[in-house]
Amino acid sequence: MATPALPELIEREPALQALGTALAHAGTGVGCTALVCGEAGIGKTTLVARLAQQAPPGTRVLWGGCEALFSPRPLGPLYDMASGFSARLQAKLGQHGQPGQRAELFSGVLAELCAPAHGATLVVLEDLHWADAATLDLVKFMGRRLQRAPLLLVLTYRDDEVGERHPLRAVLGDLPADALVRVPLAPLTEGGVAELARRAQRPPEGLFALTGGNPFFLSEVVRDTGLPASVRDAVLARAARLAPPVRDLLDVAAIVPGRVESQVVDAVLAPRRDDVAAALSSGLLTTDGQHYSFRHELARLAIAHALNPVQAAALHQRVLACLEGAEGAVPATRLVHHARGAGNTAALLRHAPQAAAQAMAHGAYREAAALHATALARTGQMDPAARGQLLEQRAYCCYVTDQLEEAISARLSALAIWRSLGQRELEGRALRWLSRLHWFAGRNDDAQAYADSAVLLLGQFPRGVEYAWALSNRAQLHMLADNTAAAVQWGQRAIALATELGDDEVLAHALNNVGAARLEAGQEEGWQALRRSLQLALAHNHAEHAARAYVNLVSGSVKGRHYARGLQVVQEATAYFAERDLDSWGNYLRAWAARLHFEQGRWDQAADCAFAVVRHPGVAAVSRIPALAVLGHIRLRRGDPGAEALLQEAGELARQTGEAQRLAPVAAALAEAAWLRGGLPPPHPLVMQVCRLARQSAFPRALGELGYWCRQLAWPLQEADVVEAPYGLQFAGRWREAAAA
Amino acid sequence: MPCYMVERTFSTGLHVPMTADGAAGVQKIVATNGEQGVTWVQSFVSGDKTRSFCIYDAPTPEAIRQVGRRNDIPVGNITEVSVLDPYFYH
Repeated sequence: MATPALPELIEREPALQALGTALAHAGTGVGCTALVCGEAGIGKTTLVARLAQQAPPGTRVLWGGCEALFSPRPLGPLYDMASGFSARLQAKLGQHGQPGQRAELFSGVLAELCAPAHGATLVVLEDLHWADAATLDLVKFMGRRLQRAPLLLVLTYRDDEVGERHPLRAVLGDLPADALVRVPLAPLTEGGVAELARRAQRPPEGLFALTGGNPFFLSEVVRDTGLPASVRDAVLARAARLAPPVRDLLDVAAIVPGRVESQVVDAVLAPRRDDVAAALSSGLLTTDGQHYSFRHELARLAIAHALNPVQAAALHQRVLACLEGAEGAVPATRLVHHARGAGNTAALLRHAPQAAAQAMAHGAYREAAALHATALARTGQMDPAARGQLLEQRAYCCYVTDQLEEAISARLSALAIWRSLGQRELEGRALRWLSRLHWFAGRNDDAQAYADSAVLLLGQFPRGVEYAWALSNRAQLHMLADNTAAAVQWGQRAIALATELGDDEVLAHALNNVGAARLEAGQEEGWQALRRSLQLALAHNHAEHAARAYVNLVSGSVKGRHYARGLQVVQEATAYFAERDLDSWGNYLRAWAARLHFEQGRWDQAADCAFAVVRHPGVAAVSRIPALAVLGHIRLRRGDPGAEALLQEAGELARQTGEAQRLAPVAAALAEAAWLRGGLPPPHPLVMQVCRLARQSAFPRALGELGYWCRQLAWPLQEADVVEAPYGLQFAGRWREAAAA
Repeated sequence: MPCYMVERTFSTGLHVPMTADGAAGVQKIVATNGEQGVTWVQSFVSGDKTRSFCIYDAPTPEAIRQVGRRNDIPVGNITEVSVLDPYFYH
């Protein structure tokens, strides 16, 4: 495309660089799709034209565009670029009516675009929000096949015109994420607008507020040749014709998302009846008698974005003062919105913790964590103890939403504050929490060390509830390491102290640890203790403890092969977690559900559950390990690719935990893999590690499936090693009895 | 997205008529595949039509097996593959 006189770009360097890098990669045979999006007039075409102009010599550039016709021309963009194709392919372009012919045409297009005789090819398809279905199919076809092609496919579209149900959205959603570069273009900043005005030798005053930083609108304004016809610009143009008091009314309404009460507008502006009538008759604002709202959210945003920051801050402050003085409850999140907009730190520190507390009370932990972060970013003049408490709340919210590193970081900051203030009990509590967080992150050595420090420090307060917590945490780590006796002993000390103190929460926690330890050891009273713990947690709305009781009931059921009751708890727990955004627990539960389905032979369901966990790289190790083990094991048995890589990662993560319950399923899969390969392989080190752990715990179950494979492979077991009944019987060829066991 | 070769065995042979019915059948498979993020790129069929070797783009091998079951077509070995084009070697 000939673009001799491109306007100079302002604030587009990162975008141009991202596209340039993608084009350079295409030159080395690694193709991808780049999505350049933004509102009308934002400068998409100018940017891509500059990319084409700066492309390395030898780059072939093909350009096609969609048009806002009533019914768009099928494959219009392909026709635009037809002259770049061979005569044979051009002939095919006229005969693509049948499905088979179209596939042939698409393959032909791709083959010519990738022909090794050429260097890189830059294909630009513009204004895809107006694309016909065939063009969208072409985009999908190419987007999925260009990863190993010397091709950069640039797609431009107006993202504000592509709603949830727009067909383009489905096509873009289907493109492979690893071959996708997103280049969203934002309006120019006030500085950028000033720079543009300087180059045009125009005074910058008011330009930003008027144009909202839209480059096309700006360029029209500085040329003074009329106005562009986008929705945003039409709104601004219409608003600009209104008298100042009427515009003021629009501005107030624009900074309140949704709708604004007429009382608030009266308190802030006290508008004259005539001005209200003018705002309503402008067609921008509507009323239901008690509220004002914009006819369309786009219109509200256009006005809100066009407010300059100083004006907006002043308006936010006035609305905030009005809402703070209002009778009745105003949602704290609404106050936070205006406090942020007003840049009012004191108000933000008043309302953000309150909003976070409200979010936590509703179980919306992710939103709460974000609100804490908003407040913590501005706590320069905050009292250290208040800051410590806020950090602890954030740590907790991050913990339950699987943001472990953030949780650890917040908890460490709190620890430092309590130490500096000489708050020993709070310091001990932070240590105990760090123990828990490090265990969850799969770093067991750190978890043990923090647990010991907490018990030691809090032993100075032997009648305190924090000491009860430290004892119970100690019991928990023993339970997780299969030290039943120690877990029960520490747990009973915690239960006694919690009962004496009348603290239901610690009691639920300690009962959980003792129950889980006993259930692991095959003692049925463990089930009763866990159920009691769950009832206590549910009755007192301790979501965290209820969650832990649920997953321990599930894991205990799976290990004891009580599948039916395990599945029932999975269903109960799934509903409970989903309602409360308890994502980390949901992932852990899903991983155990995968194991449950796998052991019962429901491989599709097992793989679904496992993959749902594995696909998110940020999931905690304790959830990722069992999911990887199940998915790897299924692929191994099906002979599907990828089994080894999954099991290797599971083994590495499990080794860091040092816990038999994480290691054993991975070891069993690795042993089975060795048996499938055949021959007489040497014993796998991880398998031998699990055998040693199994001997320490003296649980016959620990050497169940793994013991079977060790015998099949003639890997060294000791005489005292007992292989659990079903697997021992299976090895002896007594399959009917094995199944019954 | 990874690329896989899927081997299939059809004991009574694979018959897709070159008619509207055949096209509809193929389109139905393509649509079901799409729901799981699976793309059928192309297939090679043995002379006696009892075996096929199909190239698929898919997020996971499990996705290929699931759509195989939903489309009621057999799935045998699945191997992850990449393209080797002899004409790139000059």
